[in-house]
Amino acid sequence: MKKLLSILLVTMMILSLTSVASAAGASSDGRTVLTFWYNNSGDEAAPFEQIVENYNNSQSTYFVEGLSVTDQQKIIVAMASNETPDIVKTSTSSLNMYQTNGLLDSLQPYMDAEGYDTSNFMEPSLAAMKIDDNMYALPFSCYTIQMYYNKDILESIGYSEPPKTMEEMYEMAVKATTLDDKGNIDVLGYPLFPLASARQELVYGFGGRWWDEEGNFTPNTQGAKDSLTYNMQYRELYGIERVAEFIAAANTNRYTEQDMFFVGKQLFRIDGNWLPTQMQGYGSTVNYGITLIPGTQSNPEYLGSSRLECGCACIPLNAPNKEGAWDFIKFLSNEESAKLIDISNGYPPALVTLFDDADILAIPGMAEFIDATSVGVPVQYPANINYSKYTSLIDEHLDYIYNGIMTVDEGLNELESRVNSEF
Amino acid sequence: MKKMTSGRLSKRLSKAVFALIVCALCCVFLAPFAVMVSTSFKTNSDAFTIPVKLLPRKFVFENYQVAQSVIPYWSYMKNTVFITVLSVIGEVLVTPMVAYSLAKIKWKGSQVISVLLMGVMMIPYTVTMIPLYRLYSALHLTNTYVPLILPAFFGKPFYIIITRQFFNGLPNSLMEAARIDGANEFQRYSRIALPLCKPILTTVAIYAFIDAWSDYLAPMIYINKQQMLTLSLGLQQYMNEYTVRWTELMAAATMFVLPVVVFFIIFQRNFVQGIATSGLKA
Amino acid sequence: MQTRRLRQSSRDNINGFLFALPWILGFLIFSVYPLIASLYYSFTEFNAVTTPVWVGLDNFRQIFKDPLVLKSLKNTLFMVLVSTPVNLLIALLLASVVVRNFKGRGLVRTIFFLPSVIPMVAATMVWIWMFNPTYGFINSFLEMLGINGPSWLINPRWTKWALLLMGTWNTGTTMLICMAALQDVPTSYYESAEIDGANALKSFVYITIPSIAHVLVFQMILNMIKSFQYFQQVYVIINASAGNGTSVASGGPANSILMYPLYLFQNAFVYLKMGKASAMAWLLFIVVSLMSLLTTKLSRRATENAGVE
Repeated sequence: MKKLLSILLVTMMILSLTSVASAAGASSDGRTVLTFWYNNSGDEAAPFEQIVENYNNSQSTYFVEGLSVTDQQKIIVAMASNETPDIVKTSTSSLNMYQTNGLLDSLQPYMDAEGYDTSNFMEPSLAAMKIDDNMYALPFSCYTIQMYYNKDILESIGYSEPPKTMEEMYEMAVKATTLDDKGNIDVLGYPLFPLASARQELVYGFGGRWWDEEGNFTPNTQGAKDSLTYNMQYRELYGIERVAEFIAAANTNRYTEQDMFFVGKQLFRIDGNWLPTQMQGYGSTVNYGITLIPGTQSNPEYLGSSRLECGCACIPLNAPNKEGAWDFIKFLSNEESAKLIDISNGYPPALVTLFDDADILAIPGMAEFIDATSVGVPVQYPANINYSKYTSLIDEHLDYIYNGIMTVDEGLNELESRVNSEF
Repeated sequence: MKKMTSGRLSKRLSKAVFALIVCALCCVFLAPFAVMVSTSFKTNSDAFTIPVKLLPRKFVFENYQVAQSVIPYWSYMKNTVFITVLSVIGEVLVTPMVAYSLAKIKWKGSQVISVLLMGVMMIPYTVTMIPLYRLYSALHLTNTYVPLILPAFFGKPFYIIITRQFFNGLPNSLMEAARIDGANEFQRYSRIALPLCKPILTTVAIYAFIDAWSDYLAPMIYINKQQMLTLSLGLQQYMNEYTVRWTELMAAATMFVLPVVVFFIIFQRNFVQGIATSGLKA
Repeated sequence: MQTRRLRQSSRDNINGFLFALPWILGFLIFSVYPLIASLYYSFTEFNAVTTPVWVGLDNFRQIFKDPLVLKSLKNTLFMVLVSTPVNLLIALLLASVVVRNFKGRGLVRTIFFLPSVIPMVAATMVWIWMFNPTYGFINSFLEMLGINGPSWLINPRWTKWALLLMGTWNTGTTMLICMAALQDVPTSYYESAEIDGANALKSFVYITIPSIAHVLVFQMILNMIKSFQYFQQVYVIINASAGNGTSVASGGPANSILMYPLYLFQNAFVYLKMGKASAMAWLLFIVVSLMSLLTTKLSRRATENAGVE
């Protein structure tokens, strides 16, 4: 019996030792250790690693340990536990999600205490960081979504200018759509891919919104209905199955060398500012232009409506070292660090002084995107605790509509009734 | 399933049909393996060219190289092996003890435990998941391998059941003889019962190996730190926010699956036996 | 003599207890405590850090109001009521192949069983790739046969059938058990049937199936219990088809593969509604317990019939 017990004890000791070894945080030369999580990996993580190094060399009070954690679910759980990092790099939609769950510490007290100057951040990016009039993060990059178009295809169907209205766009889309000998879609005219853009920008351009200014859900707006009517008209014209197949294939090779837009199989593509850099990287020969997302004939002022997503950093409520975290957040959003992030990862800056920085403007497509932020209509994510579940419900009903299981009206009505009964 | 005999020809025909069906079924069951391995040798553009060919148009080994640099493959492998080895040790240590108590010692609790074993197997992990997560979290044991390894040192019902079944088959006379010779219970267990149950322990070890190697849920819940992940979770990292690096993923999956396949083929007799001795249990 | 026996039996009691102690401890820590805690949590509201606050039956009320609970339940019932019987049938057919005596039988059995030991994550990923409507192996194979394959994991009408297909690859364990049961059917039954002029199908339906019915029913319920917990595969599939921007809280196309355990998991670890998730878990536990009770009843009857043990 003794032998058995001793074996058990020894193994338990080994176990506890391994746990201690992995739990111990190194605090070099008496500096306070801060943990910093960023949700980038691979090449995209490089600027953050660089900034951490710069920060550690710049002062001697804190020592930052950077860690790449990409799984959002893990980040949420960690933030809600007692083993949270001190600083979390995130983006607007997640920021809202964290704070509506009460996981974040407000930056407002720190900012007020030292009179932190925010005048260098562009206004919509600041608005994106605010929940109930309190700042919860500082931004360093900010992007909107624009419309790319294939100039050669557009020319071949007899147009020299990209569309300014949705009606015009639909007309061009139908003219540009081609089928192969089996009747499968070869070139997709209407920008139904990516699906996230079809749910967002393609609805915003019709004046539709999934939520109002106060963050209340509006599942059944006229704009959404109009957008979906066009969407379905196009799908039915070429066959629901065939369009779905094209989109599925497009989804599979999105952002690879076979990306549908990169190989010239999409006339319009509503996507982010990283596209030109990627196309360059894959040696795509497509002759493309960038333009604002169209408005409608009756409401041309909808031109350039797009979600606004900012890269930013925040402090979890349970963070062990908030003073230090605030110090690092300021460093992360200073001009030098922000420029490093924006250039390496190809993001438009959130800092006004970087707008005419030569290195930033040298990034392909960047000039157009920076211009767009001043003319477009930014759509902010709602600070509503049920947002991600709501999105799941929207997607579910859009899928019903896209697959012809429900008509546009049925789908939106059903969505509305379910949203009303649930929230 | 026997065919009515009406002449040699029809017998031969039915044999041929049977062989054909079996071959077809085998092909179906092997197809996913074939797809996995062949895709791992394809170039990206080859994998995305229509018509899809089962064999690569050009064999490349790059994916296996790249796969190791996209994620820290070998350090994940190290983590996985560490967890697996400790789990196997735990199961092999504890399982025969408990099984011995149930099969070879006449005591009040053995009946109750036998029933409870079955009951525990039926508890959905989702029920225990949240309290255990809170428990480990309160003890600051998340982000360690303790939650992944510790349960192995308390015995899994399935392993205990098959081992108990094995012990039931051993004659009591050996133990009785040792008892008369003055050996105490522990001596009887360690000197007589344990050496005899080597075959079933091998079975338990293989099951424990495959279970720990494939474990997905526990690391997903408990491990946050990128460098501490296991291979089963690491595979997920070939899928980033937008794209899946299929050719590399298939290369990594092939490397991940290979040890399991090899182990299974070597020890498959134990495997089949394990399921057979468990009676009706799965 | 009397006292010695008594002493012996009390020593046996102590020894038996000590030998089983690891499992008893594990049972208390990993089963009893979580079960009780989870029951308590189901009447409270909290996220992972806050202390639970008593809310009475509020969680259960929320569950019955939640449209996604209903949806996930429907999806899960498909797996339980459609996928499980189909898989059992496939397992039975495979078993009746490998139970026959022919050259290479061992190899065939290995091939049929091998998929069941492959780590689920890897297997699921391979299937996702095969299901790709454009570049996947399945649809290009169907095209060779002149069939225009569906967009499996993308069209909400097809997703669950894709899961079903995927599941048939994984029936090795059930197959082995069916095989063992088939081997126990006395050959004399078949011989007499043959004399009576029954063909293969008839003897299969009238002899094979009744002879192993108890095993089949038992396996059916066991696999149904497993289907109620169907999670890992859909979790991997949803992660792989991310890119629609909502990967953490998605349920696949039109939430068609949002299984009950997946939604439970999302409630716990994405929406941080641990109380509601615990309540959902307990509802699941009750259903599974009832089914388990049924199995033990059946297995008792089966062993009585078979006259073993």
